[in-house]
Amino acid sequence: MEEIKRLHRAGAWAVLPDRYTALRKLLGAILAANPDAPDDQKALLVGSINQFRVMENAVERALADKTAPDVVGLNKIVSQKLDKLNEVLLTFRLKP
Amino acid sequence: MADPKFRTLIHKLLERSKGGKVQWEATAVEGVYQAAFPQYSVKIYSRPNPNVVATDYILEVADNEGQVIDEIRDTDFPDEYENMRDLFNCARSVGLGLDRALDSILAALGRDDPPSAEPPEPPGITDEDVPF
Repeated sequence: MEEIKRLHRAGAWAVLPDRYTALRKLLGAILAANPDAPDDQKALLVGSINQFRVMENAVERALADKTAPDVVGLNKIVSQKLDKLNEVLLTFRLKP
Repeated sequence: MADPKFRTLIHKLLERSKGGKVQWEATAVEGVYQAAFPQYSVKIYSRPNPNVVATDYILEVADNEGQVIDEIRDTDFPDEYENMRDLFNCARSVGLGLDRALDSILAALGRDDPPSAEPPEPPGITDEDVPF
C-alpha cells in the first residue's frame, strides 16, 4: 500500500490497475483465511477491497479520458485503510 | 423488476444510518459513498437525470471482491425517492465527516459559559472625591 501511494505520487497510472488487483487479491485471501474474525474486522477487509476496486475503476477511467486522477484524495484513502488494516493484521498475526 | 427486499434494505440502512450505526465512507470517486459489512458492501451515489429536472439515486450491492451484484435506482421504487435521497444525504454527511464536524461545533457552541458576575456598582460620587 505504501508502494501504491508512491506510484500515485509518481503518476505511474499505467501500472497501478495491476497493483490494485494484486492488493485486492491479497486482502481477499486474508479475509478467506480468517473466517472467524470479528464482523468489524471482516467489514474492514471487505470495505478495503471495495475501495481499491473503486480506485481501480477511477484510474482506468482517468486513463481512458486522459485526465489526471486526484493524487491527494487517493492517498488519503490509502493512508486511512493502511492504518486500520495494520491494526487488524497485527491481531491476526498475534493469534495463537 | 427490482427485488422487493431492496425496499427493506433502504429502510434499514436509513434507520441505522440516522442512528449512527452505519459507517459510511467516501470513496475515490467524488459523490460515491460506501458502507461495508462482513460479507458485502453497499455504495450509494446520485446523478442528474437528463430527462427530467431531478436527481437519480442509485444504490449498489457488491460482493466481498467489490464486484457489483445488483443495483437499484429510485425509479425502481418511485415511492422510495425521498428515502433514497435521505439515505444519500446521510451517507454523504457521515462519509465526509460533516456530522462529526457539526456535532463538535454545536457541542462547543452549546457549552454554557459560567454566568458572569454583575459588574459592581460604581461608587457614588461624594464631596470627598472632588479634588478641588
